[in-house]
Amino acid sequence: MTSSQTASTPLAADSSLAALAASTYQELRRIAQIHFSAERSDHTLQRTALINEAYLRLAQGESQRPTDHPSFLRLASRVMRNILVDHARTKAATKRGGDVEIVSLDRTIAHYGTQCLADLIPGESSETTRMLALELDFIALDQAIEKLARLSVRQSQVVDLKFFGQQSIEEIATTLNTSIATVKRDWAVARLFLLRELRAEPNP
Amino acid sequence: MSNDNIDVSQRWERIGEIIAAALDIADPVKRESLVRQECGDDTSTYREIVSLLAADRADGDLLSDAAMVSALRAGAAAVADAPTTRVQHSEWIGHRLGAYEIVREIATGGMGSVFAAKRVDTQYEAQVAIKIVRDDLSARAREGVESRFRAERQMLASLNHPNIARLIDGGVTERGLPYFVLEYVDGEPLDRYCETHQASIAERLAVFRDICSAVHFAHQRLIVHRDLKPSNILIDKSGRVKLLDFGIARLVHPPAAALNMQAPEATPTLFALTPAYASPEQIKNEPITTASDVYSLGVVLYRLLTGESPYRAKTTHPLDIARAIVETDPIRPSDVTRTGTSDDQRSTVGTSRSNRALRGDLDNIVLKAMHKDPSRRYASAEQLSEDIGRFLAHTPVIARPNTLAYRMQRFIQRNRWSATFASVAVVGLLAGIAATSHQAAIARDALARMESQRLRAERHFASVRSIAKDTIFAVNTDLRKIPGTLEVRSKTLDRAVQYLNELTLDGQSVSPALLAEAGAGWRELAHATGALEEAGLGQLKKSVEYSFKGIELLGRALRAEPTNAAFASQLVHALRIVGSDLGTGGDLDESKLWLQRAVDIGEVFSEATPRTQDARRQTALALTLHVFYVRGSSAEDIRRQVNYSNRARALLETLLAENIDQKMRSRVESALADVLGTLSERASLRPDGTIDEGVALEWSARAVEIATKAYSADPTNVTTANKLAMAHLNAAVDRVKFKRPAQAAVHANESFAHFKRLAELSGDPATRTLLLFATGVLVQAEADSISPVPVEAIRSKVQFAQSIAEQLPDDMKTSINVLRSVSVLHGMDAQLFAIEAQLPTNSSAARARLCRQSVEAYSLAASQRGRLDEFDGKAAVDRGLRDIVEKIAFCRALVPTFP
Repeated sequence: MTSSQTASTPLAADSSLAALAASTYQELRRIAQIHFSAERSDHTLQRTALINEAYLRLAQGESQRPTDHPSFLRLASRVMRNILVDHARTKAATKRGGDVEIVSLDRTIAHYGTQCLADLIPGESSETTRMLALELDFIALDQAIEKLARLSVRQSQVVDLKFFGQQSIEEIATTLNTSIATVKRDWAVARLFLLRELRAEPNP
Repeated sequence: MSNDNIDVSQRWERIGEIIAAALDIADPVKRESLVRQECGDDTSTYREIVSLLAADRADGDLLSDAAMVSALRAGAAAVADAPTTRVQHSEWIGHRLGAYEIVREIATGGMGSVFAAKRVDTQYEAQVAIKIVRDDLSARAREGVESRFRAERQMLASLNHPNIARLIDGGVTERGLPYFVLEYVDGEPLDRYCETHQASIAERLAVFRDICSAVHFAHQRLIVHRDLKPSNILIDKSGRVKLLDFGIARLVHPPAAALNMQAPEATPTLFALTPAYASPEQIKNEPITTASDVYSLGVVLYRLLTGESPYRAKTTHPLDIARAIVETDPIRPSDVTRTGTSDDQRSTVGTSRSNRALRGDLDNIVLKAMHKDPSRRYASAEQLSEDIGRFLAHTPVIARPNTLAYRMQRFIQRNRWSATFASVAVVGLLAGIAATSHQAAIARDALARMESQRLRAERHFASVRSIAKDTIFAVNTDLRKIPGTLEVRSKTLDRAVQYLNELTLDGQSVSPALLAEAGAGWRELAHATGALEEAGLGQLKKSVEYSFKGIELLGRALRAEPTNAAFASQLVHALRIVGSDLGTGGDLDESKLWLQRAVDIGEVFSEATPRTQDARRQTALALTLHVFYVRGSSAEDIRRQVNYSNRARALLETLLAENIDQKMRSRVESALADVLGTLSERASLRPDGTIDEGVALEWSARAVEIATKAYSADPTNVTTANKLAMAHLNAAVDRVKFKRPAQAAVHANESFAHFKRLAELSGDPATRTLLLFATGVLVQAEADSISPVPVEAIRSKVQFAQSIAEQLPDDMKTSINVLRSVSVLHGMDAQLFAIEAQLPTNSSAARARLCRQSVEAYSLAASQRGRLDEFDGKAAVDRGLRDIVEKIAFCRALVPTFP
């Protein structure tokens, strides 16, 4: 169920990339489960970007060696988004709960949701952000990012790297091989776009 | 990538550039104009950017609200384009539309032109008006008119009301322009009619009520006018009101929602409407209901009363007008007539008489009708009309100043009210949670428990209250009249403390009235314990503690009922007591803080609810105290002292000019005497810090005059006697300062005599402190005015005063007035010794002794002055000390052997 969604995205059109994406997906999911399992406390994760960990693991493995670091980061942050959206979809579809995977992915969602919102609405208190994160609709966010990608691929990559790659503006500039000023501007516009899309009434 | 895609990303790239530039500009107006400039004619890009910028604000930045701005822009463009697309009116004369032939043009307005026409297919000449809608409507809007008219014809035909011009027929001309056939009314537009007939306010209101009744009639049939304005309201030859164009706005401009779905570019036609009378929700393209008509009625009434528009837009551009409507509050009608400049325009309504009539109820009625929030307006045009009826009948109107609760809340938020309001907020929160909890059963149980707790508390309270209030305070007042009962009184007050403490008022089950009553009890207790006025035990620390308890409870009560004037008045009183007692005790910073709160709350109330007479009295007194405890000679300090003094006086003088009962009148008069006397010097400060003696003398003389009048009317009353003594004391102080010792002595003698009698009567430390003060002033005045100085007489007074000082409670001994008085007395003592030392009859040994005594007294005076450092300011104290040092040097010179 998961790889088909990943494969349908334009980034994964190339078959080797598709394979890489698939293994990245597995790896990230596994890492996320470990990180967000009930036994682990959240703060261990704060300075660790999951995608970096995934890169190291994949690079050590034999089968799907990532090509270069920047393009892997672009891919992996994108894949991370897919994981969260898949989870949000599954949850919406089944409304089941309790098993380890679900619980840990719930935490992942809460974690990333809080971060996304902190980036989107920097003025809010952390308490408000945490509350709002419970309401954040990952599916709508995903759709909004896809919509943004149709306007500017680079801006959607900035968003992915920021939200799901947990990279700073400077790191994003390096990853995308562009200037910090460009990333800042892209982020400013992308942020407004996402806010507007998320705040819009759902289309019937 | 297809060309389309390239275009899309290029456009997005451009949008990104403009947004980046816009984000660098903080001012929303400038930001919007930059975007407008960058976009040029590209309205879709403009709309896109504005909607993106708007996304950043959860509360919706109105300026960048996409719907509004884009609608306005396009609307403005439509207005600007209008002349090029307007119908040639002459073409229509003689033209036939259905059964009618157009005879002549009557008028041209924003929506189209109106012609007189006659029916050609009947025998009799029925005259009608035909309105042909402007042809700059979008094609889509035009297409719909005829079918919509057919659909709604039945409904519009049902609008059979004597004050509504009937809509007879409608259709679309062969050129596709919608037209409407209306009952012909031979009359004048409302505004012109009122002007030419010099209609009085009552007449205007009567006409307006007819308008309301017509609008209400239509509303009952679910027909909203949507474009009410004076030019749509005619008065015919017989003086009857006729409303035009009912339902037409809706036919021409179908609901915005439908437009948005089909064709967003049709939205601008909304602005063929008259923005000046449009409601905020019309401008924001939100759903329009009967409340929108109530709003427009409010604007019509506003204009009828003031002759002006309720908003001050920067220009007459529809964009600016619309902005003003959505973003700013209307100016109060009474303020318009007061501050308006176009006198000729308002010749019939802009008199001071109408200004007075507007103030208060009419203001509130207009502003309630025009509330930005539709749900806060009158529920119907009929209600609006009824409230005007109540105003005309002099019965209370239902329009209450809606800003008060809001402003109180804002005030409370602005000032960190420490634990008091924080705890209240928590209580409120808990109640809110209980009320909205889904666990209804639990909530019901909790409520039931709260209810029974409340009942218990109230029963208990009732019994305690009768002891605390009716017994203890009454007994205390009676005891005041009996000499030597100080100790007993102190005990009864301690008893009151016990009772008040027994009232547990911590739960949310306590009603605001109960909180306020207990708070008032503490307040009264503080008053009797402290030293604000003559009836105080001078136990400052205790009094401050009691005041704070009272303030907490009264604050909670007021928080629950933010518009309750009695609560507010009590709270201001309590704040005033604590401010005064803290100041008397020398804690000037704290004192100022609490007095400023008293002033703020009091003024919010006085402004918002003019009927809160006691709150205004309390406020004036709070202002006075505030000035009293603000020392300082910076320009800002001076400005504030003069300003506050004048505000205090103005509050009371307006009160006196009103119709108030005798009890309140005498209270206000005594307060006025207080204010004038206490502030005479401060009110007369010039910007450079010097005193305008004329102003000061006028204020203090007036104070004596008022106090004398009150005293003569009721000479046995302790309070009036006290106020008279105070007025004389203040007058004496001024005159000592202005080097008029003879006049000062007269006033000081009066004051001394009254205070002496009062002190013997009650023995209250507060009164004795004032007697002490009066004695100090008296001896100064006598020493300065009588020559040779009557050493013995003065000395006996000094000794009398010193014995008073020694017997004061500890709290009072270090109070400012006592320190100052004692310092003056020591100085006087020293002066007397120095005078004696100069007497030639004395032996040199006696001289040396007197000189030594003089120096000792001066040192005592100096030490007292040193303690006044904080209050009087360093410079004044230094001056006093220098003076004393000089006098010591003089003694040395007098006796060469002096150590």
